[in-house]
Amino acid sequence: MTASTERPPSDLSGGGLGATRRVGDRVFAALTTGAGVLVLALIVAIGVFLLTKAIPAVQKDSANFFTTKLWQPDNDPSVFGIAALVFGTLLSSIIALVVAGPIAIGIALYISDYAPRRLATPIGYLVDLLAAVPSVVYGLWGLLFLAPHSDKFQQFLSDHFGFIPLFDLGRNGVVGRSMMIASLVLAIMILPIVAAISREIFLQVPQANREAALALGATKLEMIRLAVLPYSKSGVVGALMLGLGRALGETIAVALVLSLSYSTSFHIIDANVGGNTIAANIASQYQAAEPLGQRALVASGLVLFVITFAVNALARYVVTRSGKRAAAV
Amino acid sequence: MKIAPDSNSMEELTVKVTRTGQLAGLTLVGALALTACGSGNNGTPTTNPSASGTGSAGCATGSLSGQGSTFQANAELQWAKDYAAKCSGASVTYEGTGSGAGKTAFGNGTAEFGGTDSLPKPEEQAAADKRCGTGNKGIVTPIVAGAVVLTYHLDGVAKLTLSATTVAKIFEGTITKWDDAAIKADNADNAGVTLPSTTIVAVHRNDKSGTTNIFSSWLDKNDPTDWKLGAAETLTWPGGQSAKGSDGVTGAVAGAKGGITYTELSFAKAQNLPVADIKNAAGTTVTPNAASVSAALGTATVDTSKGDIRITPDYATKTSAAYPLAAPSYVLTCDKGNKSAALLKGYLTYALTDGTAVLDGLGYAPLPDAIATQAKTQVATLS
Repeated sequence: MTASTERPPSDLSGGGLGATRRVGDRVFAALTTGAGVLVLALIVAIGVFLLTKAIPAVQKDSANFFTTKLWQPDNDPSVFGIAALVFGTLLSSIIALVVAGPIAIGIALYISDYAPRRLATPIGYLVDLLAAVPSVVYGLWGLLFLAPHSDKFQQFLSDHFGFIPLFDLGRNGVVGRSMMIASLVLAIMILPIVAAISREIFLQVPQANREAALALGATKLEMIRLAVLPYSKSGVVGALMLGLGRALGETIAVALVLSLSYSTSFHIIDANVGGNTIAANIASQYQAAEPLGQRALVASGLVLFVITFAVNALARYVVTRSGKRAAAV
Repeated sequence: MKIAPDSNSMEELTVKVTRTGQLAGLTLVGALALTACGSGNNGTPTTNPSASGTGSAGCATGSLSGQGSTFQANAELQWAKDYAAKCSGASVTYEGTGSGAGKTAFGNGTAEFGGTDSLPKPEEQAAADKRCGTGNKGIVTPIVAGAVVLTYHLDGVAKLTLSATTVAKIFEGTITKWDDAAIKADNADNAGVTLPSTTIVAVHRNDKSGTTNIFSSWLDKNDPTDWKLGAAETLTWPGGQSAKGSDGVTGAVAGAKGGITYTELSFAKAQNLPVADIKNAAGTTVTPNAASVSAALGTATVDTSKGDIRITPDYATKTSAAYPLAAPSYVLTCDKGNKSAALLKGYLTYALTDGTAVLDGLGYAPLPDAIATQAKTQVATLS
């Protein structure tokens, strides 16, 4: 019965028996420990599931799993590889991040530093609302509205900027359900997440820092550059990485919008070239897949699992490093 | 080596298939089945459940669930509704989950019969045999025939004729404009048709599909020099656009000027898209309809060596009235050891006899007489 000395005495609630409080504490501690262990167990269980299904499938693959740009696991001989899928996953997510990142940070800065209070609150709500829209709605919107209505814009890019390989349509190119449209839908999907988190981080910057910068004669832009951005850099990087994580794993929106193919091409506005992502490939192939095909899809899921893990690890590394540097300054 | 997948993983699979499957479709099936149940008996209730439904008007009571092929789903839904109206106390449901899922569901016992466009592979056959019990086996019976059509989106072109060679070049990407000389030549007889210089958007299925198999088999048999992709359920496409499922490809064509795709007739009708006529191997221009599809299957090879009825369509048929992109769709059952065998027999017999009346309106065709007779005989032996 030495436990009581280890716990800080809490007499906020006044009366009550010490014994009952200790039981409550112990139960609560057990519950939280259980929750923590559950998360670990889940991750391990998912990892084991992916590995046990993936390894036999990859062993039956008659081609190189990492370099093949085809997906025909149920053919005889079985041929499948993730090269095109990984390429498309990274390309679409990076385009989405490049497009959405600056806009999202702009929205967040507008809400935290520029907008009058009357406007800031409703805009903040709207951004949060946007984050709650299910991804299938974004997918349908991209397929039925954005793709058909962006033909002229995509054609314009091809006509005037076709010398840039990204916007080259080639001989048989057709605009429409292209990689660019899929990436733009992803960008719109990750925009609210990045904006909402960045806004919270900008609001954390102490008012004193802002006032100090202004008192030294800084303009508003200089104040943001000197006081707001350095203070919130690591948090914003974290927000961007969370957005990237969502873009990497997005399934149904991409499967709906993109004309799926197994090519690795940078011609992002050519719908005849199309593209693919790991998650969209699973969504499109799972239903008709035979047992080996299903295991092959699980193997591709394992690759996505690893990529997402790597992105998260990188994000943590960046955040802690920049955090240390900020502390040193 | 394990041939039959263990039951655990199959359970997982079914759950996932159902979850990711066409929820709207499932709901519709459920709704139709319920309506059918509730609508009572408009027909003559010739109830003879004790005779285990041997006659063509045989009615049996109970409930029966099938799932699988989306190709035959619209026909199954109509039959289920009509049969329940005819026979009070009988309830049949069908879910269009896809041929692969249908064979799997039959194999693990979650469905009393499976609908499939493709014949069972050895692994699937083994699972079906195991489900039917010792000494029994899973057998396929052709139940309906249907056409794969070429449907397009081209303003001002109401009539279009295509030959196998032209279609092969369009989907290979060697013909890229609608006013190409080859397409013009195919349409020389179509008075008043002016083909625009629109770029062709050829849309194919990006999921594994029996429809792709029928389409590519037709091209492979008719013009193997221009069609280099072979015949299979998944192909290595050199380009062109893609979408998932029959509704996906027709949706993509509806949304893209200059679009063309291959799909089942009913899906083209659903999007109000026009359907091209095909020049068959006899050199005749034919429109896909019940008569031309039945004519095409008249020259198909029928294999009864496995104890059931397996049809290899003749995609290069020389019958002048035949629409060559025609194929049968099957139901997978046990020869003996069926659950609710009486109802299964009654329902399938209905589908092959009175049920054929609804087919033309739904975009299907009845089986040719010779095959239909074999199918009816086989159904009568089920127990």
